[in-house]
Amino acid sequence: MSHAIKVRLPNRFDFNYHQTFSQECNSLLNDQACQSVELDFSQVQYLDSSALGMLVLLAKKNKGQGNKTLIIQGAQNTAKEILEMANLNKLYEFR
Amino acid sequence: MRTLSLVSLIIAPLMAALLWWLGLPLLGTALALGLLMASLVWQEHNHDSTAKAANTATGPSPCDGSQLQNLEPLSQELASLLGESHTSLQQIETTQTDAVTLLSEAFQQLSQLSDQQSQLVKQILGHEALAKSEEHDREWMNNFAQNTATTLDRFVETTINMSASSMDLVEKIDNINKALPSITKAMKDIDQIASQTNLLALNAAIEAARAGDFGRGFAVVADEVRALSNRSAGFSEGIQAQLQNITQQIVALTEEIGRVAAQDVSYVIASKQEVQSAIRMLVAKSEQDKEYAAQLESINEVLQESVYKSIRGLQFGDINAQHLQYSASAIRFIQQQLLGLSVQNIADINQHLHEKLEEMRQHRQQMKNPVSSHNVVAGNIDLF
Repeated sequence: MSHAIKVRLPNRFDFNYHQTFSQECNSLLNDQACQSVELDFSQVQYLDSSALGMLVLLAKKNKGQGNKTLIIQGAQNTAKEILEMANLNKLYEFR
Repeated sequence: MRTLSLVSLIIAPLMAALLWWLGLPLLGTALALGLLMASLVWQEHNHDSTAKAANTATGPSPCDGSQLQNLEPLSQELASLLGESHTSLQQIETTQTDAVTLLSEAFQQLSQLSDQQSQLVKQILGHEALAKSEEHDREWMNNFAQNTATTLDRFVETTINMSASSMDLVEKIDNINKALPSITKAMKDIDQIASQTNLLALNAAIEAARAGDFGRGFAVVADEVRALSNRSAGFSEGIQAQLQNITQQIVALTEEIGRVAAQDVSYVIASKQEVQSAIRMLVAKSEQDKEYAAQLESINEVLQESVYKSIRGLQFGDINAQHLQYSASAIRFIQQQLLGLSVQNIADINQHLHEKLEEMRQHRQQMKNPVSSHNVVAGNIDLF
């Protein structure tokens, strides 16, 4: 039953990506079959505070509904530093 | 005669050695040569007189007055030479005393300055409780680093939370935006109904006209229905225009929120690293300062020790001065004895010399050299 769904994130993960991101993630949160959401950061070179806000918002929503495992995968260099600086390791599992 | 030459032979090297020791080699050599020559003259004179005495074999006077007269200028000459030596010794003593005083003052001042410098270094570095303050400094630095990191974290957290709320708002606005097309569609339905009603009213009016007088009343109703359908079409148009306006404003609002929510956060990482490296530098600097302070302090200690040694060394100037005084008085005495040496005949000379020798012996016993120590290490004198 452990059904993991991968969400691939773009090179620039910023405000312009918010609609795509929230659509994808909201549908995943409502998906009963989905056990964990894996965010693929391997392509991400840049992310701003709105991206961090989206990630925090996703975690908050997840706490209210579903309680799925949230995973950040393949984050590198600056992206990884920013995610760690924002203490997202408290909300996401880093892989 | 013999006695005098022997005395000269003894005095000559002694005087020479004394003057050599005092650093006056030329004077010493001169005096030694003078005395040696004097003794040689006396010996020759003695030889000549004995020869003459043998030849003539007459009288108790082995020596004639003209030869004896040579003795007086010689002793005069020696006396004046000794006088010059005496004056030189006194001058040396004065010069040395002056120099020692000057040096002592300078070294005392140096010592005071070094003390002051040491105090200042201690004050600058808050040296009073070095061990304690080192611990304190480290703690303070760590606290500072911790506080800065916490402040930065809090700032980042606030920014991200604000972004999350903004994104929540954006999503809600999006939902509203998504609802708007369905309203527009409903309005379009209303439009259609209105146009159909309009058409219906038109048909009714036509039918009413065909019915003639009977249909007149119906024609009024048909007109009213048509008017109502036109009004509802007008309302629908107004509402749609408003919706258009709202949609535009929602787009603007989303953009605005986006601008607030989307901040570059990479600078936070840069500043965090900057703060950390600044703290590392501060810690390294304070540790280096402490090292330098310790070095400065040990240098200062060595400096003070050297100054004290110098001051202690200068005190031997006093001993030297006493040596010089003693030597000067000895020379003065010898000079006086030489000047008192006026003779008429050999017997007189012999007696006179014995007297003088005795006097000199007594003088030596009376006037002991006040200083017994020969070197700096042996004489351990306390500071002034």
